[in-house]
Amino acid sequence: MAATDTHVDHDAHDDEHHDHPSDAKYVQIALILAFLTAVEIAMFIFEEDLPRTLVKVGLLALMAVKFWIVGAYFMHLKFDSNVLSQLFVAGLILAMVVYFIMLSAFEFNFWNDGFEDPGLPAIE
Amino acid sequence: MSDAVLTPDDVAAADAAHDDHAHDDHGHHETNTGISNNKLAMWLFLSSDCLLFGALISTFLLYRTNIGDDTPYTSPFDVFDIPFTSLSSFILLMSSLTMVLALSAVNRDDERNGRIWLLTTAFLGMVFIGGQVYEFTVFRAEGLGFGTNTWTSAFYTLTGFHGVHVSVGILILLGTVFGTRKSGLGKEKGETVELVGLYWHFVDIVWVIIFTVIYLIPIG
Repeated sequence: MAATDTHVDHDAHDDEHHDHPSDAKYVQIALILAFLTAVEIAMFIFEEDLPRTLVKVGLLALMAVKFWIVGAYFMHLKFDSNVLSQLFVAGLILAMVVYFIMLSAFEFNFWNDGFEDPGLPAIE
Repeated sequence: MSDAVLTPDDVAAADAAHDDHAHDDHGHHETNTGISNNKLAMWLFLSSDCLLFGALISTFLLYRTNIGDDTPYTSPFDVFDIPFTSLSSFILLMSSLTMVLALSAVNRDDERNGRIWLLTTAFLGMVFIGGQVYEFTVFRAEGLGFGTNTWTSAFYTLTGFHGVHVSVGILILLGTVFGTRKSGLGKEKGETVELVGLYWHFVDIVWVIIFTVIYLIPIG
């Protein structure tokens, strides 16, 4: 059993040492990021000529792609152990949960349904 | 149970075998996950930092239409200088490139280029911070102080916290360059530079979100 564990440990350890991209590949990735940023700015400039929904969805999609590229290639999540990706995604999901809870509390007034506002005593 | 008695030579041999097993070729302890403890700790920190920025971005989104309170502005886009902020964003994005090139050089044992790229990254970070200071100064001159309304408070808190993260990153980068003058910045420092890089790239991807959500996405 111990021997099997040791074998697994080495396999996991080897996962950390996949070949990372070459410098030329990093430059290519940076150029793609720069291009995506340029597209974002173009969408903002021509916002009036495009459907509002398309602009919003397009900008969010470009943001997600840029986020993924930096995380996967520059932060090496694509080449490292899956544990690190899961850890990071867990943080992102928790952050989004925080946003939706705040949105439901302040924007949709979800938590106040059925409750009367007791008001505050007047200050004399 | 064996009643064999261990000799000092047996103990020394066992210690040597343990050392071979417990350390990888970079001198790090092996762990159950196969990931170094330092790297795991950095990812845990970054994961928890997502919550901080998640809360700050959420707060800004709730108040993003309140710029008109106590100001003559009807929309944040009346005050944003998008071409200027786009340039700042591009500079921060390119600093991520210089950061990975620094790590790549250090992993190749190319100390000279490693230092040059780390210093370039710090310089690009300083340019970004300079741009943020300029933007804040312009906003202040336009009558948008921290306490003017809920929009300004949320905006300055979010972008200010991000600016603090970038500033801390610059200090870490400079500390890495100048703190290793005697010990060297060779391959054995690869993990240190990788951890600095993880922090720096995180700061970059947070700005990717801030730039899109706050500066580009139209209201309504």
